Amino acid sequence: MSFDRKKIKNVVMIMLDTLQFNYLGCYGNTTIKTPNLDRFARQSVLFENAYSEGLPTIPVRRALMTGRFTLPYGGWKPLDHDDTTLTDIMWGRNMQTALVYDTAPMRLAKFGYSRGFDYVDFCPGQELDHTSFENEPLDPALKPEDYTSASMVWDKDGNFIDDDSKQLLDEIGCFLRQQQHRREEADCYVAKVMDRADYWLQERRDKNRPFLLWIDSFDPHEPWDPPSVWKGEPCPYDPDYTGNPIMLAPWTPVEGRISERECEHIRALYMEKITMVDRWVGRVLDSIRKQGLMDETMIVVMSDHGQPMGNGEHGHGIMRKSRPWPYEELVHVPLMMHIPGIEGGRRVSSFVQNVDVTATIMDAFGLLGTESGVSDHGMNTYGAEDFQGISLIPLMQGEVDSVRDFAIAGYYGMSWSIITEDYSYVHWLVSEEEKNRADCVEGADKAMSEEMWTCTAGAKVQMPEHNELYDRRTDPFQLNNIVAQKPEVAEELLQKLKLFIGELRTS
Amino acid sequence: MFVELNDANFEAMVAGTASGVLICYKKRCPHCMNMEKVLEKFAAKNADVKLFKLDSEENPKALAAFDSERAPTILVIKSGAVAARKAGLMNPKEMKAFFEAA
Repeated sequence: MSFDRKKIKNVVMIMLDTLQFNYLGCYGNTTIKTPNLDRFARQSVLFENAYSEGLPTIPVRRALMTGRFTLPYGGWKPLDHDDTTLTDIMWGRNMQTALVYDTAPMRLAKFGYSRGFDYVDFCPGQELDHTSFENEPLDPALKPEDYTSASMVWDKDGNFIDDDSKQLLDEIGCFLRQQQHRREEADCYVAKVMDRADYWLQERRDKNRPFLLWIDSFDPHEPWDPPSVWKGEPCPYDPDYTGNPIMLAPWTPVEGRISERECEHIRALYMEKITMVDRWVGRVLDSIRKQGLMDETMIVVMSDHGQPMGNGEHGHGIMRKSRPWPYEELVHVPLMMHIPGIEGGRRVSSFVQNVDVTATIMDAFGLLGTESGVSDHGMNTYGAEDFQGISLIPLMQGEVDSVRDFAIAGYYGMSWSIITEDYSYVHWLVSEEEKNRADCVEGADKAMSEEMWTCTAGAKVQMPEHNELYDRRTDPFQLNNIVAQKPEVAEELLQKLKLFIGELRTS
Repeated sequence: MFVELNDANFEAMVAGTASGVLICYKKRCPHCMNMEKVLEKFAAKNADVKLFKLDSEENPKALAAFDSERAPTILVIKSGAVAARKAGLMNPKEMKAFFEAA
């Protein structure tokens, strides 16, 4: 079947939150079993260098829904009235839109990330929804302390180590209140989301009309509660571990709080959870195949980010996204796209960013060049004129080899980084002290000052002393800072980064 | 598209301009390069607005007169005088509003 835009009727977007790229078989992992995603990779185009620009959860959704970078403009915040989303553009066109999700941050009060979808199905209670079930009585047989390590919670005298101890037990208790009714794997979140999405596909949608279906699964995000935890069996990726399962870890640095062995076990639980997610995503993909939709449906499978998971290349000394640190294990994401008529199995090495996914969806629907206006009947209509992404269809067809020479990533108001083939460079917008103290959403309250966008005498871009430069070819996970050895490279990259982000700020 | 100002001519040029925009820039400043593109887009849609640029480092007298230590500084000129001044970046929508409000 040859490529023809007119044959693409539908788009299915499958977002799997916190899925680190190198934990997938199709990205080279030989330990973790992900047969369904690997099969999908063989039928689609796999992007080896996809980077999310603004972190974490919310800015990524914002970029994907609006087709615009977020890093120069804003971070963890509601969708603005001025933002034009995919579904705003779909209004008034013959397109049914559906969102099936359990990603609690998207559903935060007034955040509005379900705006414009015709059909919305939200599953409450996932991590970060700390209130929906807080008043549910908890089965006395379930104790939060049985699902984490005692040494992460109490000191040697049996007292809480700090406020994070209480928060950790509260978080686990909250999750147990919802999951206490779980009896089988089909009761877990990814299963619910995928089953409900499949219900929409099979039963609920109008089969005579094209559609955009956005499936947003918070799994494999923590809590790390794969099947073995509920069955009381050893984790298949770490069968010799003898301690409690570690469903969650404290929101603190690893050192002095989480042992190396515990970090290893958490990673094994995460691996098992990924294998479970793979199983349920596979069911939806199989359903799409059985319904005969593959030849008329573009399918995107991606994640918003990875996850810091311990020391060294696993997480630079943190577990979970507890600091605004834009390192490889977080910002490099898996991305695969199936487009009818484009040969599967291709692997693309060009840098791509999440805004490019949105541009590609619009291009597939023939809407990339559309402009906002007013309909004949006086209603406002919206187009993709403000999009900043690049359609990846020419890249996927092999017509071009590259669409970007570099990628950017970071946390609004906190950190900017630039990733090239040879180097990666991290520019801190905050002091060393704040960098090591702030959490991953604090930057949302920062205002970009005039100083941010101006130069002083000599027009020299000042490089903070704690900026970091890494050799990406020999040190892709950014462990050996070489900024002191190569200041000229660092300065050139900072100049390039400021020029690009300033260009975004003015467009 | 830009007329270059200097210490010798800036006073007369401003006095003789009914409607214009001036960017005080510094060489190698990435923000100035981006802001020049915004001004070019703005001028393309506003044919009666003249564009000027001033190298702040080469022209200390003009720099002091325009109070444009940070680069880029954008000045709106109306009826032969500076009507508004702002340092930093603006997108085309913000630039339009800035000019109209001056």
